[in-house]
Amino acid sequence: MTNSVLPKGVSKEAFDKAIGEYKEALGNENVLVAPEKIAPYSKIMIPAENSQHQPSGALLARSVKDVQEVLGICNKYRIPVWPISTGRNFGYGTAAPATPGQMVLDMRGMNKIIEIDPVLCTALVEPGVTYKELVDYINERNLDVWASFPSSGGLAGPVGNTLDRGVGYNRAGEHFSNFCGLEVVLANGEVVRTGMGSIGKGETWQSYRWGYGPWVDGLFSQSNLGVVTKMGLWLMKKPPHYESFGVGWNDVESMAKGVEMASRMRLSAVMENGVVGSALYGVISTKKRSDIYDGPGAIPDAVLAKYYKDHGIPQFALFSTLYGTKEQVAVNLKICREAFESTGGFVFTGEAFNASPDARHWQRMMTGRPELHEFGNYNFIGGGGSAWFAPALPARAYDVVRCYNATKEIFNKHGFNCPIGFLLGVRHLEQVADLLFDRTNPEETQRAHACFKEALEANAKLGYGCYRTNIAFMDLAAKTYSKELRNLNKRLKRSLDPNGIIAPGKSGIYI
Amino acid sequence: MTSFHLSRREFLSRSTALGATIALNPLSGLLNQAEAMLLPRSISSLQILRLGEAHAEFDNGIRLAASAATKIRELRFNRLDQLESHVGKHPGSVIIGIMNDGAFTDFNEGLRLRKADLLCSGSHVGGKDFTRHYFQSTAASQGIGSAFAQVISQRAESSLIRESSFHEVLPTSGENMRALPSFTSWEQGLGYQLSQIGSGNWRPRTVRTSTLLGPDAHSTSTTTHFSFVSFVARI
Repeated sequence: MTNSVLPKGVSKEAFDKAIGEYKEALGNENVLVAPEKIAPYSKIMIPAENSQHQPSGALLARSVKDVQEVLGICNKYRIPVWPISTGRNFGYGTAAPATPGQMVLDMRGMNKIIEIDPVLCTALVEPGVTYKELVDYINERNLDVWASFPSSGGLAGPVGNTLDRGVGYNRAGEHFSNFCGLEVVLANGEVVRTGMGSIGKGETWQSYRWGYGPWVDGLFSQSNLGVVTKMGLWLMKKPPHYESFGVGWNDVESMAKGVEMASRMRLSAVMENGVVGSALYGVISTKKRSDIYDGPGAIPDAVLAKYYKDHGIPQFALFSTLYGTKEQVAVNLKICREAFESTGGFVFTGEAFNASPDARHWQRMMTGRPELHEFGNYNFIGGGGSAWFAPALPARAYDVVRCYNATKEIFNKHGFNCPIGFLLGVRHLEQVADLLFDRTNPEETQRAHACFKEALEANAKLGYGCYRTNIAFMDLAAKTYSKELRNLNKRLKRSLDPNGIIAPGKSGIYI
Repeated sequence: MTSFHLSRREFLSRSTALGATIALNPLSGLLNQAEAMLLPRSISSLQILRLGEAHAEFDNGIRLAASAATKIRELRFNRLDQLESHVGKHPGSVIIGIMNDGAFTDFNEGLRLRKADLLCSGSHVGGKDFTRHYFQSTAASQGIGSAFAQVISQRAESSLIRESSFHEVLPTSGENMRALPSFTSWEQGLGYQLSQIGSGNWRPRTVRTSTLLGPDAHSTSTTTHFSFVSFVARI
């Protein structure tokens, strides 16, 4: 039984020939074209038709040589290939390609943790390694390090998450600032090691990022210029002591002042991490919408406010964990307490902190213990729809209020609530809002699509571009950036991948 | 593929007529080839997978359709992280289940990891007097939407049933309507139909992209689940 989607411009005969060659290279069992084998690769949660993102098949690579052979066959037949590491890009398209008719290149089978250096706190991993595997490896050997991982807990993997500029929550939480050295297979099959990996034994490959000459690593992030087959990353040294705290606010202006204060705390190295969420951002992980409200459209603010008041939940909360010696943590906690109380927030620690399931979740995320708490989001509305709307903005109170209000107003206008979290960088924030909707309802799915589009365009007009987006909106997100930047991306693409075989449409880039 | 907005009576009469039309179609010569691909699988057991909450009606439906010879095992988990690793532990088994959306998201990853077949999946939401169902079908479950609409037509609530396929749609034998038991709930009817798919007793039926039974079924939901039929091959 054949799949209904062929690669664009490829005849059935040519496709069948290519499949024969893939099988010869990878083994029959590692070339999947039967629809029932492809179905698990096609599950998307975003507001788009499955047919727009249906792959033609999946190729399971187990080595760098496999990747080289696949790219060779793709070039020969002009078949596009969509590389995934673990493919757990939930709410951004999961494992499915940006355009239909691509072969998914699944590297989950390349899952070796090649090395961890507990002295320098570095690791070298293959693309198929999951965060859970990394954490298990660390724990089994009782190493003195923590990995940083995103909200998808242990399911996702460091290579995919880092290259897509995902974030975690401990000291090494900005993942793209904490990788060091790549091995990349280019479209022509050449294998390149970046930075210090391209000299002799590459002894400093995982410890010095910049190498010699132009730093090219960024070309392989959110791009389609090569297939990353190894990546170095930096881990966090396990601290002798830590203490978590929360800050609650009950209005958006005070919360925004608090976010700006958090940036100040980070600039002065008092705080090293933090996440701020609207109350709804926490509620969706553990409750169902019908527990709160069963009317149509967005749950009214007044209903939510009453629910929060009845349950003792602040409208907004910040969670952070301080690391160091007991003395350091005590001093920093005192500084933070005074700083955040000056913004109108109330600081909670100890028993009050532990009483909150949300707070406990964030503490685990900040102390090396992945979990699947946020999978509860998918049960809040139900029907399988989730799309993360993720603009980046400066960590100033003015911008927080502006971006929050603009996004919330658009979500509410389209009949959706707006559970927003701010992932605290040093000078910037990633605002992430989970657009939850019901994919069983075609009208609601169309509304979610319109909502996402309007939010993306409106935030871009305000100067807040999406730093990451789902596969249905990659073209639109790219168009909010300048023509000159898009032209540069296109020239790079044409130069490095003249047949356009690697992930056409990734980040809106085509040949 | 077609879209219908129908009353129950219209649904029943059109399904019968459509079946007759296709039965006379010259394409019917292809049927043997199509059906040959859907022969019952050599399965060691049929497993009902459960995470947390019980779905007795769904389980009853599975048992109602399964033959006496089919060995049915019930597997219950309480933790989400147990699901993914479970998939590979029972090669040669068909796994049928219904669970919450978050759990299915994780389970689907386990299927991919084990190169398992996902023969059919469905998203189901419901509220006061309505349900909505969105199926993703393969050749092994083609027309599950039509078949399930027949189940739903026994009931009084409004329903929207949608289906999209991952494969070239097969010609059908015209046998869209079959005599069905009387179901006590849609969950029981769903279990029954998925059990037919899981035991390989499925014949492809007409794919209807959308069938609306009764008045509007677009209200906000209060319950939500995912169902599936998967097959884990022996490697």
